[in-house]
Amino acid sequence: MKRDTWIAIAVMAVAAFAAWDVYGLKRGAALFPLLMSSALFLGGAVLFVSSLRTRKAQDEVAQEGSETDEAPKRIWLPLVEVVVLTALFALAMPWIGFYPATFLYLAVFFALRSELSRPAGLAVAVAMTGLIYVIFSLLLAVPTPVGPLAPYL
Amino acid sequence: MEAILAAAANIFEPSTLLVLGIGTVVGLFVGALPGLSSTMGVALCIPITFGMDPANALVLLGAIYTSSVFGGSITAILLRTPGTDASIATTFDGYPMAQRGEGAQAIGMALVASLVGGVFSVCVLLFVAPPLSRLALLFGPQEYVYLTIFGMISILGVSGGNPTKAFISAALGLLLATVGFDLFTGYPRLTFGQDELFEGVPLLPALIGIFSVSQAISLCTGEADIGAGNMIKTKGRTLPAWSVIRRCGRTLFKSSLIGSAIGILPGAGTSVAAFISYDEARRRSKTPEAFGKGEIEGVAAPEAANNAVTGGSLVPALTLGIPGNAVTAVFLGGLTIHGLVPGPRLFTDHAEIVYTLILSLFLANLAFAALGLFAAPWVARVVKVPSAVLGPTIIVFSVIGSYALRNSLFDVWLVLGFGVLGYFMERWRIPGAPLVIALVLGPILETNLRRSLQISGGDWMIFFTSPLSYAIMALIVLTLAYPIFARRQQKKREQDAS
Repeated sequence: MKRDTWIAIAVMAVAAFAAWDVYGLKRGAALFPLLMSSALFLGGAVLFVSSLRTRKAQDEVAQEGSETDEAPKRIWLPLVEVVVLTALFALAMPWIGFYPATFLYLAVFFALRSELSRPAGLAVAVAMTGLIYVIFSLLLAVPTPVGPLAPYL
Repeated sequence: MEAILAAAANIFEPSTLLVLGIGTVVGLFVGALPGLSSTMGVALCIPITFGMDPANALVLLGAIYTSSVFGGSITAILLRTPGTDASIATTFDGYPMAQRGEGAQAIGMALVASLVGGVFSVCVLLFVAPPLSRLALLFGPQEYVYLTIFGMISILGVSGGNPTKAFISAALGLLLATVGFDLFTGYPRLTFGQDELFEGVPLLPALIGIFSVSQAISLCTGEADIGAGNMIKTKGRTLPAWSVIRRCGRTLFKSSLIGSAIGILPGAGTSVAAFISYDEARRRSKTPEAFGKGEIEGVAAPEAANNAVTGGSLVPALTLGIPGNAVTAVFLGGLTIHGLVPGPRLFTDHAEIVYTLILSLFLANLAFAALGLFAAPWVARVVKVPSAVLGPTIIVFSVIGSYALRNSLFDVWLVLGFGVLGYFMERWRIPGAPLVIALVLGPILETNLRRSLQISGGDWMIFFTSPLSYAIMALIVLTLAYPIFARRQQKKREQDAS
């Protein structure tokens, strides 16, 4: 199946789930979410039908190397890398504190994904963390997560 | 009048001038960086405004919005790399001028045109918004239902690409807007037992996620590489001669008018205004063949128009609470975070703050013009920042920004989740702007729909009773019918030509 067909199925599933979740509520509270999930389901259904109708044409275009085809496979590896690194950053934040987590995130990121040399990457990570500290903690006094492990770092 | 005088005094306060200066500089760099948009700049800076008083917060956001539109033209002219989509039309003649060694003059004309367009649109905002807000006081809930529907339809019409996908994006946004306690009955809806969702999906993480984190992920993965070609060096006098400005006067005025009008209409944004004005200038020119080869009027037209959109687009946003495009949706998010409810009462309840914003936009236009005059070549060098450095830094800014609002780690995960959603939406060519605008419009639509039905005792005929409703309904029908009419006309023209 083509990408749009999968998107349409996912959209219809989300709409159906939302409608099921609010269906039991008192009518007034359920009215608007039901209307909106119906609209979403309708959009998904239209996309589903149109994706099936244009499937053949898309296949032909895809064979000619058009951009309408699936994402190139090579994009998935860096994407997973970025998402995993960022998720680790968010997970580490409440444990080691925001600023140590930021420094580690940037340093590892630059080492893995930028063309900067190791010392340059470390220097930029220190500078960026310092800049963020000055802006958010010193100038704006924004509270940041301070983890229980932060004093040991 | 009192409010205007108080606002005039406010904008010359040292703290306001400082905030204005910072906003102008940030906006210039955000605009100049390909891959970063005005929307992203405004969204990222909302958390910075938490500690500020509302007037200064709006001044900062307004300055970023205004100067980022001009910032995009610098790289468009010197590198043929438009910083934002608003400056695409500027490359047509700006870059050929730079290649001929007239880069400084092209930047000078872009600067003058942006200043003229920006100031013109602020005048429009100053003179159109207050009477419109007084008119809007006459609107009842049913008129607001039609207005929000009109806003949504206009946005779907011009969001480009597949209209079904734009519709899905808007419907998803409206559905997400229903998350949280129902305001009328107190029932929790679609919260899945998460306490953090009882007050609804927080707007800020959604805005930052869709517009900033998604773009940062693209930068991190190397898809939205900002590395540009060799920059053309500028030399000579920057400001155009008076005779050149006089020659372009008509174009400047007309483009400012087009830009302001397009800004007021929901849906169409800076890029649409720039293209229409460019085309209009070429059609009316005595030397249309010179366009695309380095004609200075080809720089003046899109630049005046795209900056004229800024003030115009704030008219419906401030007076009706209806965002006309993604930037104003984000802007409204900033407004609500500071406890200001956009709508007709804004001009009466918080007149001083609103006029401070409007008057500061005059200064912001002057500030970016002054800064651009001297610093344009240095601003253009910002494209040398590697994407792999910029991307994670934006993610860190987004994370701290979303955390700062409620000191909640849940919001951090929310911003990252919306970022991934926004990234895939972009890949799958589902526009993100309708989702965000729907998130803003959703509560207005639901509240007014249910209020109308409460007034009428559940009778849906209430939506067909007032003349004002009919007027907005006519606008909706026109908006829906126009693309069909335009397509038929084009087909007819093609048939005639063949």
